[in-house]
Amino acid sequence: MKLKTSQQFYLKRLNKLILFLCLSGLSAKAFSVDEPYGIIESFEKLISIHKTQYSASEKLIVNNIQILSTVSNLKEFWLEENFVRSLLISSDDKYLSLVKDDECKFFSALENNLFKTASGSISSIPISFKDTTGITKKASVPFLDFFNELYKKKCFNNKEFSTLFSLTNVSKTINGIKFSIPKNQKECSVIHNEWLLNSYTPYLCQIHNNLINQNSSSREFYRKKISIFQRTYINNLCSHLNSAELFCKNYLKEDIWNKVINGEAPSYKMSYKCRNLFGDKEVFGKNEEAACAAKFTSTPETCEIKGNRNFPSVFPLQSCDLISQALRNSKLVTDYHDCPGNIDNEMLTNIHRIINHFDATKINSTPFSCSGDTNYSIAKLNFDVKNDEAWPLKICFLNRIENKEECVPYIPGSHPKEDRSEDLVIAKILYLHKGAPRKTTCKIVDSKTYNPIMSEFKLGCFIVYDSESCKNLLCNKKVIWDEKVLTDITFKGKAIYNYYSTTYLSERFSLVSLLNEVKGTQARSIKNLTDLLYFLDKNTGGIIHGVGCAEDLLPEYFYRTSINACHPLPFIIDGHVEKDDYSLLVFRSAIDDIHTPRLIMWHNIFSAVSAYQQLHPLNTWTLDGLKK
Amino acid sequence: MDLKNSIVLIFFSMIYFADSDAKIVLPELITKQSTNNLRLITQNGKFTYYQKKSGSLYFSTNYKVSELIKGQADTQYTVIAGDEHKKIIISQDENFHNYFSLRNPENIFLADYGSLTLHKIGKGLSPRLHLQDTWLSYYQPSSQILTFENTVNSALKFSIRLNNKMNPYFIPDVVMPYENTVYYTDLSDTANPGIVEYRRSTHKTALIYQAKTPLMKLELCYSHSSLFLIEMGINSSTVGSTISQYDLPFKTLQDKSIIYNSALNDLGHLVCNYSKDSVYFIKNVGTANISLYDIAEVNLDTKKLSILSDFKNSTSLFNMDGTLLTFDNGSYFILKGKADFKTIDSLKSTPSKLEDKAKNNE
Repeated sequence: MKLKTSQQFYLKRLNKLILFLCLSGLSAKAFSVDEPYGIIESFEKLISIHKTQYSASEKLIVNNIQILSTVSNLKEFWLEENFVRSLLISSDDKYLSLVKDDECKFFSALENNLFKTASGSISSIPISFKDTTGITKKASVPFLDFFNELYKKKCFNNKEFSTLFSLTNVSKTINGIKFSIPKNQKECSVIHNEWLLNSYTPYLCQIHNNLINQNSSSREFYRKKISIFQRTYINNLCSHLNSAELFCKNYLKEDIWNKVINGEAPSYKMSYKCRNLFGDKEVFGKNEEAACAAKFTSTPETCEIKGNRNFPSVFPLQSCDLISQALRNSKLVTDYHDCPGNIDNEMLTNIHRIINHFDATKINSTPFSCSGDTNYSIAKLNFDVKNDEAWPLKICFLNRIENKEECVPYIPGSHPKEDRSEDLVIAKILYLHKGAPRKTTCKIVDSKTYNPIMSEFKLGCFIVYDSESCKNLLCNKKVIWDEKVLTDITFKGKAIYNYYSTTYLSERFSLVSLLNEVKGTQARSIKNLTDLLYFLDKNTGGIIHGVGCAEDLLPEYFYRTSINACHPLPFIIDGHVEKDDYSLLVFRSAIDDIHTPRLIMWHNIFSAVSAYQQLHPLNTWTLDGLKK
Repeated sequence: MDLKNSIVLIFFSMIYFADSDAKIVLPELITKQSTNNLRLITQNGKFTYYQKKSGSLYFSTNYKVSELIKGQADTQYTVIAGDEHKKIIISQDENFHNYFSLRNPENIFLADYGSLTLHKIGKGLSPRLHLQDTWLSYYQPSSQILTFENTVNSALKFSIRLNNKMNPYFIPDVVMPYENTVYYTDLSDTANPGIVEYRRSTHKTALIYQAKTPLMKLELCYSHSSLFLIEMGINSSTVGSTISQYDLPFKTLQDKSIIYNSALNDLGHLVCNYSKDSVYFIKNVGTANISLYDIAEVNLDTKKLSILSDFKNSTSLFNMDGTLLTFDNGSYFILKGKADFKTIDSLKSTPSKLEDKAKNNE
């Protein structure tokens, strides 16, 4: 077998043999052999002999069940020799290394079921005891009874530890433990050693065993009570008690992917990219995350072409290594997946991202809802300041009662909880003015999907838009009710806004002003790199946003072909990375995939904002720090 | 005030090399009127196009200022002159400040060089003049259609639909070396960039080159019977950069002369119509870890590379009707210019034939 031929295998066996010889008080007689063996062969043989002997001794003892508290004239008791021997041979090395020569830790490990014998797990404790007659007897003692009696005589603290880790107190106890994340190898070795000496460690490892055991009745309880970060830390600790190197390996990896797995970074920094890579599987657990992290680490080019499927953005993307560097220093809350490629007006995407950062919103994004989500954010911003009149998008129809055209505001897309949702507005018009039943609902479909020949499109209301040319600025749609096109219902208005105000009169209704008014954010103009870095470092949730010419922000994609040519592109900066004496800024333009930040030089930002400032009607410097 | 005085003042500073770590100082483009209103100064400095906040685009000669187009307030214009000084193309974006879209088509107008008469051509992006200004092309991102229209006879039109499905912000590079032939860039289904040849006679397209990875970009440039192709890695690609020259007509794309090679990924923005002896591009002068960009010139005969700027983060390079410009920190700088700019403001220049033509058009 491959394992048996490995050097590690022999070393472990050798260690056990030494432990076995040293700790179990093994007599030569017990394991006398007739012929000479090599070390490995003899150990195999010894185990076989031990199993037979232990089985025989266990049979004798298991039938003699004693309740220690009821034994009269009990003088002393200790663990039965064969049992100890069996524990040392059969238990996992990592738990044996945990107890070392600490007797109380040995008992807490035993109490927490970290050991096993040749027969497997331990349900009762075989002991030897003496009563006043002075005769040594052997018996099997119920688990709890043994520890109750034991902790009356020694290791008194263990009883308190047990209480601290009882189901009632475990959550509080664990929250009080400091799970230190090492920053370097030296620090990590110290932390690992401290855990080996820590009296709580056996209790934590018992929790770990329950968490990894699918059949454990307390698994779900622990999952609910212990945070993912704590669970991951405990898992790493208990899996690598006997190897500081392996324990440290996970923490000293610098990439964001492992930080997410360790619970040190929010899961959304990886999960959306991963889900996309794994085909948007609904079940997405720790195993998939680990697989994803491994893939991102081993083949960083994966992220350059995968991760934004059905959520279009500028392409190609960045390498996993670069994304990791950026995300490690990024603070934008991105618990959703938007689709800039489906939004024609880049300012909407940027404002949507800023709103969701300060609201810390989680959105269940789908390729079908992602553009509607963005539109909805902007619409809400307007409606929240009672700016209904100024809202540009209206559905107009002929009010036959008053015999004149009436227009009502609408928000593009389907938003079930929003009265102004396009589909609900049309349904209401049909009910109030066209005689449709009260429960009429309208479906939004693109012209490619709508097929009047199919039965599903025969009856009911459909809002059909031209999938080829429908964009925010100009979107041709028609309302079809029971196969008839309602030509008197028209969609009017262009979804145009000022990101920064272009006149002093309209200042209140620029998106930046609405953001500050509705979301309570405070803006501060950022003029230089020092100021930018200071703002980011001093304001925990603070981010920078602005507008600059795409030709300077992303010159690899957009070229300036004439003087003062510019395509304004909004962006967000939410962190910085120091590299080779340069400060690189964590940057997402409004056409970038939200989970694919770039690293960009300050010079690009400055040139881009300067170029746009020169063209701005109020000569506004369009780079601000935003904080709440 | 005399318009001549308000047109342009461009100050040249000396380009000097102090030592081996020479600091290159480029002259800044400074005009009497605000530079940010400027949209084009022709090579001889006789025509200036500029815009105002009111939304209008103006055309000025030595003698007169005329309003070319009236748009709504804060409309943005871009103006490009053809290589042969026959035509001018103007793009108009009326929603420049209230609808930020890299794909929203702009109104495209065509005018004779120095003329006040405009023709609306259509809506699209990236308009270009080809074949001695006799053809104009532009791209419509929403339909992914590349349209060509003859500037003399507008009935001559054709269009090509692109394949790109991966990058919604892709804009093709287009050259039209012959009446019958167009070369343009496109993306494959896996986003690998390629060069496609289109024959008007057959209406057929043929893929003549495809990059091996999507992490590359290609730029085409045609001038003086030569086609130039710059291939560059993007993002973390280690492909590097190559500029190839093809003498047209070529039989295969292998018939090329490599005039420049670099292990680093350059920015490109290849300009080949400034001089028949050199091409210009934005070169990566940084390291594998940190990209820094400056303007470079490659002599086509000697293949000698010269660095023309010292900004370390140049983002733009373009030919403004015979003046090679770059942009840095909010200012435009002159890299190369044929015209004698010193006399532009002197009101002493004799009206050229083109100016006469402009006057006649007025």
